[in-house]
Amino acid sequence: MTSRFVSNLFVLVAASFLLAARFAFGAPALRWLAFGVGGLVVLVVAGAFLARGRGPAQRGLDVVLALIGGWTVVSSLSFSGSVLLWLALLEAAAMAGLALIGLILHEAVMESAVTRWDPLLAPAAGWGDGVSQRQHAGVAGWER
Amino acid sequence: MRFRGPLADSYLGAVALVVFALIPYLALTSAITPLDPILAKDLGLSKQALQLTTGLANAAYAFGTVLAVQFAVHLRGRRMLILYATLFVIGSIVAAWAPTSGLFIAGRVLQGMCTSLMLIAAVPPLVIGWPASKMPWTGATMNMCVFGAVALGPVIGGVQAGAAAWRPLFWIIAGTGAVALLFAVLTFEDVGPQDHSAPWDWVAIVLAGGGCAAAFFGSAQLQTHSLTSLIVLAPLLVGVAMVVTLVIYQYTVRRPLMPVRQLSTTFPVAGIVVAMSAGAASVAVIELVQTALAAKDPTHTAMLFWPQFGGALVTAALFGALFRTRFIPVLVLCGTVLLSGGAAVLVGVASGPQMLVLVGSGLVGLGVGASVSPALFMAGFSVRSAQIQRVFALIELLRGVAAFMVAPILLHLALTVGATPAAGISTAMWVSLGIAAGGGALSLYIVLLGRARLQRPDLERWEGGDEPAWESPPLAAGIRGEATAPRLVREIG
Repeated sequence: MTSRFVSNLFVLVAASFLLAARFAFGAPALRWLAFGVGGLVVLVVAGAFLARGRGPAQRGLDVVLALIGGWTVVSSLSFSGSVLLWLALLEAAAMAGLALIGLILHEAVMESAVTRWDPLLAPAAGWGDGVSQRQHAGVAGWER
Repeated sequence: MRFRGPLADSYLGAVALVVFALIPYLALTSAITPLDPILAKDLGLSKQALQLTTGLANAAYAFGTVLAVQFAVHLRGRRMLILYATLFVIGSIVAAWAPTSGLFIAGRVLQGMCTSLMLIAAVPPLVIGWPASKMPWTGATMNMCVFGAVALGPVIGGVQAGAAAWRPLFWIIAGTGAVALLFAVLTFEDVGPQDHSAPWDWVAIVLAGGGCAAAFFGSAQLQTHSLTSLIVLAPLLVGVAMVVTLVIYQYTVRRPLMPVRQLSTTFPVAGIVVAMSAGAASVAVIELVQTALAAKDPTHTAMLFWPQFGGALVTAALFGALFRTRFIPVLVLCGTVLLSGGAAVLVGVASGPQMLVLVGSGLVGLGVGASVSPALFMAGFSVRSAQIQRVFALIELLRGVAAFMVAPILLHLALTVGATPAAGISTAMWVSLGIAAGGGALSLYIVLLGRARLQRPDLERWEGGDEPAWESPPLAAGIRGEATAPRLVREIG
């Protein structure tokens, strides 16, 4: 698995959890959940940012995600009541959306790379074949 | 025959000059808060006017760093140092005598400006003008002057406030300034200007002067206005924008006054981030504690700050001991951790036991002592020693702006945000903790992004003037030149 995939997947899961928690819990509990999720997103994205090979598009997404994560931490401690609930919803939706974009971009780049390496492989061959070809070519090692 | 002072070859004389030149004003910056009620009563100044006076004096301090570099380029440095010391003595006498509030304000502003002028004129020669074997002592002395004085300020101010007088302290400061002037004469050795052919950088001077004045004016208005009112927000934003523009301008211009481009590498940027964040957090923490304990006996409160000074002494000695080792960046990082710990302990200062102040101020003393001045050298070691004057000027400008602008904002936050003053002070202390910890984390992150490794500073090579003391990798060197998918595919194909 690549660092792009792992970090985007983590952010997607964490943001989806916050999104669900927005409707499941009240403001006092949501405050600390938002604080935790925001902090974790910042940590994970900052850690993943240190890896080579993420590409400019993903790095742009990383910066925006880190900013939203940081803002989530600040807003969770600064606001209360319905403002907090709505902000948590928006922040979670934004983080989930960006993570989804990151995952799609990652997949598109991987597939495009395989296709460009051997156009015959991608459309015709099965998923397993594609993976084995990538491994054979060392394409899967981009992110390391 | 040219005059040459009898102590021109004395290292101790040069050290004494720096100590007596820097300590008075820097100690006063943290000593003045307990004296505010006495000053207000004696001079007929409102709280707002006092805040503005302090703000303008701090703005003059920050601006003076840039002015000093410009003067050093075109004018004879040691002669100017005597002029700065003389003006400092005059400003101090005017402030101490102060028959009117106007003269007090003028004296304070002159004190602030002359201190930074003396800092930039006197400190770099002390650092690089003596054999490398003296540098650890110089580092420890710098640490004591830059932060030790600030750490001692609350003790001095509290004791003076306990005596219900302010003029004796100001006369002592004038006397200390006179001693600095004496040492400036005794160690005098005429040197020519650095570079007559260099242009006068009026853009930089206007941006620095205007930016500092506007930003500090705005933050000083917080005493009587809300953060969102026009008289606060507009100058604050304009001031910050001008200082940011100054940095960008210095990065792009062909012959800059301050070597921003050369400092745009891993270690200097990490050092500047720590100097700014630790400076801002520490000044805010000290002022918040003083505000929280304002109702108590000032002399008793002053005694609670002794551990802070003790911490500054310990870290000054530690910095001297580690000066030649690879652990300076580690010391800087530990400093931010200790400072954050101090702020965490002091969160309950307004309602908790006074033991919190003893422990918290000790941690703050250790933390700031280990971070600010070592961070200054962390940046300085990354460029040629000939640039050290300009490096110190830039960092002191940014540290001064951060430290003296953030503190009034947090103080305002403390007095307005909570249901009670204790709750407000607690919240503002958390923000200070966030600034210190965030700065430390960001600095560590910058080092990780640059894949920088710890190195021993080669002081002898640095002293030679042509090379830095250590190699600082370009910013984000660790993730630069990364392989992209198309490129890899081309390579594979």
